[in-house]
Amino acid sequence: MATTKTAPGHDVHAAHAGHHEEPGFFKKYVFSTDHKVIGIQYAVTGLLFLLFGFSLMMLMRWQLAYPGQAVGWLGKLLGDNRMPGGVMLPEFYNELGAMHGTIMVFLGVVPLAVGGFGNFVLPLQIGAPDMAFPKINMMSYQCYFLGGVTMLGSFFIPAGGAAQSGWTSYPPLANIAGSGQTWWLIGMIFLITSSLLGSINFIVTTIQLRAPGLTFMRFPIFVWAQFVTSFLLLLAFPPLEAAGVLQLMDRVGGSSFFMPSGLVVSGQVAANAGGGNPLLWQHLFWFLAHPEVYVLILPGMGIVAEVIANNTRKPLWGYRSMVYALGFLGFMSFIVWAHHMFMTGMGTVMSTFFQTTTMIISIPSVVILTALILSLWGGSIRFTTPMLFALGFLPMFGIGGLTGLPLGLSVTDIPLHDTYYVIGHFHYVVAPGTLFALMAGIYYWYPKATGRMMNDFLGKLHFWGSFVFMNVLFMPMFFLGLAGVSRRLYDGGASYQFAQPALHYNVISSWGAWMLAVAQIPFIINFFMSLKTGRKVGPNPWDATTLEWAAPSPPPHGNFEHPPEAYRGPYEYSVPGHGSDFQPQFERA
Amino acid sequence: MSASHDVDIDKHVRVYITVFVSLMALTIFTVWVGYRNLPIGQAVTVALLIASIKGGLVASYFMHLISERKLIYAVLVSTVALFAVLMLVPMLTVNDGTMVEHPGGVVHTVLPGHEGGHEGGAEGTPEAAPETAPAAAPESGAAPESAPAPAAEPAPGGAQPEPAHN
Amino acid sequence: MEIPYTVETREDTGLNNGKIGIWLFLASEVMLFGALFASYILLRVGASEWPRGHTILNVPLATFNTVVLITSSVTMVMAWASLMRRKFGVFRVYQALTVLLGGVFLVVKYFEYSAKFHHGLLPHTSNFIAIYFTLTGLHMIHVIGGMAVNAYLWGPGAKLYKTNPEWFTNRVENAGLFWHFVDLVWIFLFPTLYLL
Repeated sequence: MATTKTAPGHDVHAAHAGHHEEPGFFKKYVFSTDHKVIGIQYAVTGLLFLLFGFSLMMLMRWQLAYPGQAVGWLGKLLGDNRMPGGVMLPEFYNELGAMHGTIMVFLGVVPLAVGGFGNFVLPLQIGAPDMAFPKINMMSYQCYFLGGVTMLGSFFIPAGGAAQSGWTSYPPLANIAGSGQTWWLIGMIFLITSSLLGSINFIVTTIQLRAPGLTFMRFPIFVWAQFVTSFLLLLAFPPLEAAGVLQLMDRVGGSSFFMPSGLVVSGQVAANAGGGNPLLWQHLFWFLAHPEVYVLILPGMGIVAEVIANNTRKPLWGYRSMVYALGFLGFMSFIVWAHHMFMTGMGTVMSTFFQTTTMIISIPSVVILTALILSLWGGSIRFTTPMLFALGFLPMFGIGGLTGLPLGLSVTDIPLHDTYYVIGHFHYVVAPGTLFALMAGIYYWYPKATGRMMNDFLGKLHFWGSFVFMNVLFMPMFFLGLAGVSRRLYDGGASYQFAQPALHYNVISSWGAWMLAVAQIPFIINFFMSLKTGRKVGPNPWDATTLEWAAPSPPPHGNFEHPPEAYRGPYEYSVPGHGSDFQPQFERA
Repeated sequence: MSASHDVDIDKHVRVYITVFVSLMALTIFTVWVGYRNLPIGQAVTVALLIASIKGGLVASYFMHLISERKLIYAVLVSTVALFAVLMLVPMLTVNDGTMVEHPGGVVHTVLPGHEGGHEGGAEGTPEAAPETAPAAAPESGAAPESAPAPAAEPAPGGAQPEPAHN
Repeated sequence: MEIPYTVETREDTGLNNGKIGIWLFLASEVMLFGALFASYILLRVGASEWPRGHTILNVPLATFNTVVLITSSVTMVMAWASLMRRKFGVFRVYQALTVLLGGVFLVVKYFEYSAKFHHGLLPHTSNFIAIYFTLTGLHMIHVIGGMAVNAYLWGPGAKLYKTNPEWFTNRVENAGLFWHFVDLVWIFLFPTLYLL
């Protein structure tokens, strides 16, 4: 059984050297089946996509703040088919919008949160040597990579560029749009396959490979969060895959699954047989996309739970409530989806049904947030960088959640649907919500993955800059939306008379975005610099209690010198009568 | 392998053959029913019932579900529940009216507000579906124009209005 | 590094990893085909007109295919049962039959599809034809996938029997579960498309 008293920098590789020869570069770093390597592959790729998606948005924000104004050098860089004379074409704006959403959700956040953190941390946190199916794990990353290449490649299609129909790809528009949309669909099929393979792996690993003594009610909240998330991915993604197949059939095979009869496009009657239903796509899409938003938040909540427990030096408040809330949330997430469709002409019976389930689902969210906040009470708070991000998450997720309430009630949704209010709402949850949680996770688990700490000063700079500018960027959107400005307008509402008094919000948001980018620079520097100059640490630099801190930093192939055992719950901090202020799960006495 | 284990397998094999014969019989039965050309409501019910029995046999005996662990059941029960939701709910959202069957097996949907004095043409006219009009709002700022699509097709859930009977 | 419970069952769950894995995969497949069935329902309920299946599709041929697939399910489970009895030779016969019957299914499908193309019935003709091709096409892809796995287990994959018969038997069982699922989907597809 590994102890917490391993000397810093102690190399355990020597102990395993006799077992097998060192694999070559490709086997070790590219085609590895080791969950830690795959986790880092996912995390790094995910972070790169987040950066790329952020860049797309920064481009959009120029057009929104200063519609029609030229940017010479960008025009030269991107060419006349995108920004002739440096002025953004509406079609290009739409490409940016659709791909920003797609990339952030499917290529950035989920791969980082689930593929990155899930893969790296989960087996360690349950005391397993690896995932149940290491080869399938590798394949899931490769599918993700192929999906990403497909999505990126779509920008370079000569006729029309990338998908332009929103990340939601609503027909009939998506059906008749340029060939970028077909690439989008193919990319999605790769990504969904990757996700399915991953979720099967996570569930089997969690059930079967947990260490002796690690019962379900001794799981860290992070493990529960990933477990529920995996079920959401497993059961909710296939309908979107089916929808993707149907849309491909429409686009390539000429069917009319989503094409209604009598459709007129630009003055011409559409040539298909008709008889289809655009709402069919919406149902299939949102059947996934609603559980998807819980996929976006749950791993983050899990990370925040870990970081708060560790940095308050006391057990989490309401562990059981949190577990039940996570499970209930997962179940409910499947029966709320049509609150994204209140404006599609549903009758009052069905819209009342969805409104009711939506109101009910806010309860477990509140339970979890409340438990996390109450966990701070009476704690001995250490304001480390991960803790700052975890603390920042709490009110930000609160704002995001509360602003969702008028959207979930069908009547108040009427003036708010498809306005900037919606964009403000979901960005609060995902950006200063999930992304803050993921940042907390990076600062927290970086020493486990690399054996070195990240720089704390740069970390605090990163946090405060991000916190301020996230709010500058997203808060104005609520007011813009309440003023009635629709989303997905390439000029941010400038051509509408009623929007004139609210247009200055666009400028504020845009400056928030560009300053937010600047605030990420300390993080990028820190991330790479610390690999070489970070303070070296041993297995448990945070004095934490969960099983991953029993392994060396970084863990070798196979993770633990001796298979660990769980002797108690996950958050035994400040146990009365115990010598130190923490008692790890993996320590016998 | 122990002798008792072989006997166990022998019992299983007998079950497999029985199930096989039942499946064949049910297949012939379902095809026979199909050729009876029942009204659509009855046809669907009978076909689904027979298919469910056949599927149940395959799942229980060929897939050994009947002797499987609780964990697997739990996963499958949740899946089936979600499957049912996916089957039923979308249809309910586009079919908010009452279904009225007419002689000849034609089924119309009468939307709220259009009851009383059924006329075949009522649901077919463009103005007849005010609740579906909002769906025409294009989702994207730069959408090519599309005619109010739901109004151009007969109201969802309704059969083709009888031409010029009224 | 050995991953535990790949072959032996874990005491408290009573299952090995592969068994849970394949059932989870099948659960996701239920949702995949379920979504297509839901689409079929929505399209049909909203259609102004929808043909009865037998007016366009070949019922006798599809009935034959149904019999073929059900039979292949029996041969599949018999293949596994033979392995449980450690009768490797008998396993190979049943496994070969399973693959062969899958091939017969595909050949019949080839003739069915060709006849449709010949009569100009393509996805753009009508939504009935479109959903017919989509549902049976996706099912066919699953048949091909299942056949590939079964062929592998009959051929090169069978080597594992010599070194670890229990692991090999589990693999055949899991492949069988997938194959039975493919049969199960057809059991619902057949009346839905052809008889209603």
